[in-house]
Amino acid sequence: MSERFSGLSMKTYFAGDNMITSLGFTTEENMAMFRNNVTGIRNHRKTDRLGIDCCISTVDGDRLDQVFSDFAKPDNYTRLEKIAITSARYAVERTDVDFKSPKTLFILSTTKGNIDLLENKKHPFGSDRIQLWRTAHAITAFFENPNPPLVVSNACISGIVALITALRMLKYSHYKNIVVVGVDIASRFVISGFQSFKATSSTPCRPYDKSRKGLSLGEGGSTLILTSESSLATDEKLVLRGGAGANDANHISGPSRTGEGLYLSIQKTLESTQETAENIDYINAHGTATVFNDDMESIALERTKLATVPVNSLKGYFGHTLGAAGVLETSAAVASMRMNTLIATKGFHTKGTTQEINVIRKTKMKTINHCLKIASGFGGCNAGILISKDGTF
Amino acid sequence: MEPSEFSISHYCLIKNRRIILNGEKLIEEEAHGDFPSFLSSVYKTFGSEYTKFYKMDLLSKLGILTTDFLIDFGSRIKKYNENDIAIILANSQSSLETDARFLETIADENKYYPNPALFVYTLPNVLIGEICIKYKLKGESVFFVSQTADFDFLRIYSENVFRNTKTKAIITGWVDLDFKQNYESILFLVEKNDGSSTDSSPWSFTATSMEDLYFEKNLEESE
Amino acid sequence: MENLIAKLKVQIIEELSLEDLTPEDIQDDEPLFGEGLGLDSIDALSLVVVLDREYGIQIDDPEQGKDILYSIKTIAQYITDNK
Repeated sequence: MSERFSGLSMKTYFAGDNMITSLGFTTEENMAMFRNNVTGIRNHRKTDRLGIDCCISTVDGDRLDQVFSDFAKPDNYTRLEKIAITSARYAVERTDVDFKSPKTLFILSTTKGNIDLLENKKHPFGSDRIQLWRTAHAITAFFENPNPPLVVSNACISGIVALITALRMLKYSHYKNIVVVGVDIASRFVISGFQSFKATSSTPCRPYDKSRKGLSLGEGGSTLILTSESSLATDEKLVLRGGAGANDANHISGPSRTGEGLYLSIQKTLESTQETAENIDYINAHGTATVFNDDMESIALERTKLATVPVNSLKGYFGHTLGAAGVLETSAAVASMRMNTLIATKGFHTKGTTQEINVIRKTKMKTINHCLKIASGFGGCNAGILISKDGTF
Repeated sequence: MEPSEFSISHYCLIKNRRIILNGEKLIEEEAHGDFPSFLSSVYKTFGSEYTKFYKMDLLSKLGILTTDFLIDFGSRIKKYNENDIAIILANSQSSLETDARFLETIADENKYYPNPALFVYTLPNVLIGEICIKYKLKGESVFFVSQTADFDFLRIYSENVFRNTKTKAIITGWVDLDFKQNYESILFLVEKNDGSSTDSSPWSFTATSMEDLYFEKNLEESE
Repeated sequence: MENLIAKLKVQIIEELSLEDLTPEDIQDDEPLFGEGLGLDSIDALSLVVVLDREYGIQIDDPEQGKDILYSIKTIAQYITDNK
């Protein structure tokens, strides 16, 4: 094996993070809101901006433009790009990572990108701005990064897949830092689609709860900066140790009733990192609050002997943010590890899944050395990643 | 230079109403009828009976047919376990052709009937899902979007997947379809060189090799 | 109701992309889901759209939906009863 890529011994650290949701524009703001049991999911009417009756979580657009105008003209960027750029800016602020370096690569994780441009044809952005690669370029050009960005569009697991992609690229290429930006906006297009699946709830979602009726869509952005340079890692030195994906090979929209793909993803993640189920302190799960997803997760967790591990879904706070979810929720998981705090699963009151799992009901302190993050999505896709504190493995 | 650990054992290209499999022209259709008719015609002539085909969107139909020919309806990957095969695809248009169709079902507020059968295909990775369902593949997969086909990146990432996981074979390539139904699809079956038949495959797993096949340079030379 | 049944069969074949079936292939009484025609969850949702769009009938409750969508005949009956 070539000496250039000594991938075998190198670790991947978290160097920076950011979360933008209805609840705030930084990780700290969001975490404070979670601790205060606040949700950003609310009712919107057909006469509001999005033009459809729904119960969702959206980013404060006025605040976004206000913040953005400090460093660029808001009119020159789409809503999604503003969220993504603002998020990446905040993430890099307290780090020494150089966004302009040729050794820094950007990965954009999104399901629909600037989909609002498809619906609202009278926009000033040019016909190719609807293209995901063009959107990614708008972001890297803003930061003057010389490398063509990668774009991962893999349904609701895009963020986790982007992180796994980053891990593999850091291990086997010349890149030293990879900036993973996950973002998706709320749109009539997407809301209509999920409503046609009868998958949405008219009230804020209730992950794993007996009376859950469906998901709450969310708009959000998040950035995680990964690095192979130990000196650039945050003080807590959190390591992305591994991850894996697997397909259910069952149905394009319904999850496998035996949780097959998620089970395989978790197994492979643990095997490849030589970690055991007993050592996992916390699981940040997908928990969309649809009847089928949450049941499937409970089955997969039971099959992998993780049923007693404290698990939460954070979607009760900011909804299902699709392409942003994997990055956003991993940012929250990383913050939880930093603070050694398990955040309550907002919306959960009564056990309601086929298999009994240990859903976190109240926010409380706990030493978290090892965290598993999992996700599932349309197309039968599933993925998991393992994060640990350096020195604990 | 080190001998490559991997090689392309088979490839299939669908472009300009032609289907090229491992350098041989399988089909060359007359230029009449639209893209959907071309796909249906190919399916009816060559396709294995798979009723789910008709429910797929055009991008998935294109990808499934390319895969069918690539792996000879599964016979070429029979030796592998369901967890051994990874699928790494990319395109430039994501699922935009289907997105436009779904939009038609909601554009008019007075004729608002969002179609779930279309909505599910407004995610390009669902094409991968269809391949996994048809051939019972439970391995790793990812869908990338880039402006042009970057075969060097697909090679690099495929090699990363081979090194980082227990994957033994990879289906990788480019399956693209735009609003105007301009299409192109090329898929490669990449296998580890393990002393078996793949060692004698004519195509090394390199960007140059893949680009030559994509641009049909091998066919130009033989004509 | 005969005409309605015939019309429904055509609509279902078109809406659900059952291109290799003809109306003659679908029995009035055969179960649409599970055995019989073997339709899946997305097909069920598509049928809900057809009922709304073509007949102005809305089904919001999945449980109620199961009974209505059992066979072509039960669908036709429901439409007739709820015109």
